Amino acid sequence: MTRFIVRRLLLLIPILIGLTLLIFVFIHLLPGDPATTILGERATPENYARVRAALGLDLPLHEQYLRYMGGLLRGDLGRSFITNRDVVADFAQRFPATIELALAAMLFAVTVGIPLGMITAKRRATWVDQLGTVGSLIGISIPIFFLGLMLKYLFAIQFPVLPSEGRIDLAMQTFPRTTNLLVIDALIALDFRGLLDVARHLVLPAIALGTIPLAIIMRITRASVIDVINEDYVRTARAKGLPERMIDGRHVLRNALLPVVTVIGLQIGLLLGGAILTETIFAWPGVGRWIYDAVTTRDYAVIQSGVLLLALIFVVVNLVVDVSYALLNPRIRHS
Amino acid sequence: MTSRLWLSLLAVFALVVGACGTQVPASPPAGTPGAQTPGAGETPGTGQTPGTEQTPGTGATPDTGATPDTGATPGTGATPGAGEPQTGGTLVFGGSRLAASLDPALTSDGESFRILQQVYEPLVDLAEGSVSEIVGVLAESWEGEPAGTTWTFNLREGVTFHDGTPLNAEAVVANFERWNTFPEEMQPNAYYIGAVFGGFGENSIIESVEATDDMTVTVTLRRPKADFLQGIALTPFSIVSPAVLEEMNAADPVAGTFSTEPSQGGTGPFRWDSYTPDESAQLVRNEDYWGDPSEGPFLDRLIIQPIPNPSARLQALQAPGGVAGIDLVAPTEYEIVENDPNLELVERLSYNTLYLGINPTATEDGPLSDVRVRQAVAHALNREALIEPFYGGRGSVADIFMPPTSGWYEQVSAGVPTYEYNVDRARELLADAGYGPDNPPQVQFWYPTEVTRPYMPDPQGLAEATITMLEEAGFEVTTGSAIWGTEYIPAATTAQYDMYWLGWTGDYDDPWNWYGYHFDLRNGEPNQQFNCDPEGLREAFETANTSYEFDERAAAFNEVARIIHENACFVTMVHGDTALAFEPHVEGYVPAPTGSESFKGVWLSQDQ
Amino acid sequence: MTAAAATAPAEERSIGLWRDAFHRLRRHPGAITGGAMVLMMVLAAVFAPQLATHDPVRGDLANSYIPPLTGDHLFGTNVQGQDVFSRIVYGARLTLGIAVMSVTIGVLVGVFFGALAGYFRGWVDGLIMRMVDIMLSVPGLLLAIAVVAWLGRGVVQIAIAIALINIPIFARILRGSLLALREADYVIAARAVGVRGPALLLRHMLPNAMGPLIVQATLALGTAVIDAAALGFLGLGPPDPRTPEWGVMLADTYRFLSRAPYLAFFPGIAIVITVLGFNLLGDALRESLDPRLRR
Repeated sequence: MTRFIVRRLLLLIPILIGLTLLIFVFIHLLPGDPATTILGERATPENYARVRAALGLDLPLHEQYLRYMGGLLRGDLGRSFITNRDVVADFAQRFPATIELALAAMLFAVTVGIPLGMITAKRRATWVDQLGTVGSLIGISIPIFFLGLMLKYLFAIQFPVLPSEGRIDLAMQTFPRTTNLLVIDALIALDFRGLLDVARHLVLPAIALGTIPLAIIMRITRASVIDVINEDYVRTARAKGLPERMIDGRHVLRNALLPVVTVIGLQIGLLLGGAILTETIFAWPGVGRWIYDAVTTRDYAVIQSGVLLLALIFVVVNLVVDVSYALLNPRIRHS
Repeated sequence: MTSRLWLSLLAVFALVVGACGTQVPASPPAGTPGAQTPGAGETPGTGQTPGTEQTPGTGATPDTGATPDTGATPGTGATPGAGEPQTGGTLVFGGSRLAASLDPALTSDGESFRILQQVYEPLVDLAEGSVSEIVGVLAESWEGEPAGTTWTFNLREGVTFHDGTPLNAEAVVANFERWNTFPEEMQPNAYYIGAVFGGFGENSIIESVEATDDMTVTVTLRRPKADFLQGIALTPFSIVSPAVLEEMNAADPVAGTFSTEPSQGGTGPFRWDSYTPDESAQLVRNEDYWGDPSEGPFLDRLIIQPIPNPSARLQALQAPGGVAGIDLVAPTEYEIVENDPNLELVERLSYNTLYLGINPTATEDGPLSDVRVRQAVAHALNREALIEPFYGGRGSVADIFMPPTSGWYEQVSAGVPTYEYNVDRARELLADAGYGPDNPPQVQFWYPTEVTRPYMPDPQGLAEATITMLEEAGFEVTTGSAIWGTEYIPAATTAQYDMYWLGWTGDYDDPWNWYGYHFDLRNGEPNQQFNCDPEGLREAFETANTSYEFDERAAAFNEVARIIHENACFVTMVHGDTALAFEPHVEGYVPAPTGSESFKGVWLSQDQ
Repeated sequence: MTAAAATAPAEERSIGLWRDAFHRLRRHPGAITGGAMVLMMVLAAVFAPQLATHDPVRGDLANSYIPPLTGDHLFGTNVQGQDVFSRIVYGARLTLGIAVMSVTIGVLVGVFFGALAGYFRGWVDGLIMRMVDIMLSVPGLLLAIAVVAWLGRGVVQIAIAIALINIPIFARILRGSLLALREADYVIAARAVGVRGPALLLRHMLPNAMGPLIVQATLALGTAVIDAAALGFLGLGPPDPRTPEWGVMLADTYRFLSRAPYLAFFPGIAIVITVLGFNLLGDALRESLDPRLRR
């Protein structure tokens, strides 16, 4: 097991180096440069040269890359070319917002998706199953931005019952932001009005972002449960006359969840990509929108570090999924 | 007038484009003796600070025309009997962005000013709601001449910075020295400083700044600067506690935190509580504010929340709780605000113009170098039709560049050719120029993205409609778009686009600020943004620039306007409206045509 | 899989498989529904000029915000006075065009690299698969945004950006199939009779690895439609802002959501129908081609 993990960790190194190189080269292919961005209409040749020099953009490409990698190894990802803020600090400040949204979306997807998958599998080929299958297909086919717009229109404009902008009613937030995961912060402060407000702000974006994972999880759960139900040991258990509920819990679900865990892990990338759209629609101050803005303003420092950090998280999550899969599944562990 | 002075003036005006039409009132061009008049009208909620000494030279000339004032828009809670201001409460205000930098000296846009001007204060400022009247802030009085080189400021007694250190002459001297010695890599961002002072170090017009006594500062200039006082009234020239500057390494572009973290270095009615990029700027009341407590500040806490999309801003305002005021309401949504009993619309006086820029040299030997083709463009555009769908019926067609709210409008617009919507006439002009259906004039049209401006609430929508109109008249149009700050403005102003949107918000009421800024010579050459140099224009400008009396000056600029519009150097489109919206319990907000307002006098009529 | 099939020539074998799959597909309810949905959009795309009642690009400001089912405006008009129905119909043309173009590029390039990796193994495989890992570690939409920012806005650029998301996916799938096929009886048999190199790859292995690719390509068409609309929604659509692209149309409504919500409905539903069609079809294909279900 240890060898398996170590091997996977070592594999990370070339991926990350390749990624930095790829991002670096790619960014320098983008037209325009931050010097023009910073200077705007007041760009004179002298100003331009001075800003380029200040940003280190006049160095040869390989030197810029080495400088960047050097900083990376020291944990210094530089400062935004536009705001002059520390990139790591800004990422750290925004990432909890994205994580909170992604976790809420995943929570929604899992708590609704797995039971629905179970139910449709156990009632295979009934109208419940048909309905569930059609529903999940529609769920997969709805673009986040359309679902988000509809939710926003219905529940924030037509029937204004839920907030649709930002993470919290700023006038109400009185608790300190220790973790910047506002649910946790409100809990720490035992501020239940605040907690309710945070939860209300999470509802619409989490549904918008969580619907596709929900549909996928439901489908996988259904397929997996159907497979497991037909396995010998379940039939044996049933033949032994074990109560249905016990069979479901002990035998079916535990074994059927293996592929579901993998799929949940794979959804992380989808969630981070979808976050760009969700954060745009619901004015959510997270990482996705931050990087999108950086691309449009050519804020190289933010793009390269932001994408790298996101990719790093994605890769690590995948690793964790692989390892937990190996832990859950003895067949992989022993091979 | 020396060309250097002109240059520095040009730089000041260039800023304003940089500020995306933030409308920071600059001063009139030197040579226009006191083109600005005091008396911005009755600004509700503001009294002139008693004991303010008027600068000799400002407002010395008789009325040069009515300055746009805020009299038309009474602000929130203007109704009599709104009651005495109450202290307390939290106001969440929705702007479109947060600050670009937290160091006032390094900012140049209205969204930054909105936040920083609550915390930091300059020596002098424009009176609330006015675009011309200068009042003392940290300086109680001052002496100086627009044509002179010595300015003396007598500081206000008993002012302390938020960190508890006192405001004194030394602190002011330290700030002037800081502005003059910005490290090179920070100079591009200290844009206002460089523009108003003409540069840094040896290039700066500041020769010396001395603490004549504990509360008196004498500034000596290397050469006269007529708009010196107006220049240092801008938010970037705010006085910051020297102790804070030192503690936060403000001079260090790498390790300094003054530009990224909130500081306690201001003197303003509010002080920093916290700043979270993309989420909120939170300010709390300065209990030790130097001003008369009956004039504010009243709010316990002021929170600025960034919401870029105008419709989303309105939705946030309408949602229960939370945001209680927003800026730049989409004009098409004014009606929603007016029909909502829980909302109040506060309009700013319209003092801006959208124009369709034309550059005959962007494409070599392109069709637009023919004046008939440019006139055909003007006739092809149904400007009236744009008002309802895009400006919610609130704007007005711009016959000339200056808006009717200007005191100069009547004289300057008299007899200037206007272009009515007439597709047949456009086709005729194109035919005269040798174009027809088989041989259509090919032009590119550009519009900006990621932006709404007071004169341009929906650049893309306006572009779509305009392109269709041009096609109708027989043009073959290719479209391009670019991000406003990053690519669009530099390209549009350096002759890279055939046709494009830009606009202008006036900084003060003088025709030079409109026509001169755009079409007067720069370094002896026509402004490359338009490359428009028709016969007689240079002479007309020469006359106008040396005319000081109102009638004479108005007549001279009337001639300038006539030549420019006759040659269709650009097509003026629409004067837009801008407005804020508030929940009814927000009182005391005074709108300014400049778009930059203090929250000092704002209060909440019941605790929500 | 029968022993007879395994020894039969590859082409014949795969024809049998395809015919079989097609028969199953025709009776599959999902395939019929999905096929009908896709067919509807394809017909709309092909006959857009005949179906459209108005110019999809040029509007008339005098006719802005006409509600649906008024006069000859089936779906109403937008702020520009453009007819929404005509724009939806022409939008099908654009959207399907981008989807087909991007998936074609994705399949061709992905198959090329997947075949290289699966055939040569060794360091070629290692290198290609690491590249695939790297590309898959960046969220797809972010990759597409960056590519459009780099190449500029335009239909072809959008198609390339979306193709780039697909390339690693197709490469990985094909490589997986090829690795499995190396051990297949008929490949071993072909190798035993001396078939080597490209001939083995092209004539014996590739045709039999097509099943999963076709399924993935069908599903990818659906994702491509969503991704193209997402780019349009984020303001990275084709340069002419009047272009009737569904994502652009949705983004336009976002600015006026409280004023005319119906404007969001039509392009949104069009996207859902198209994507749902491809997803139904892809699922049905997967089930038809799945050997496990052929028992």
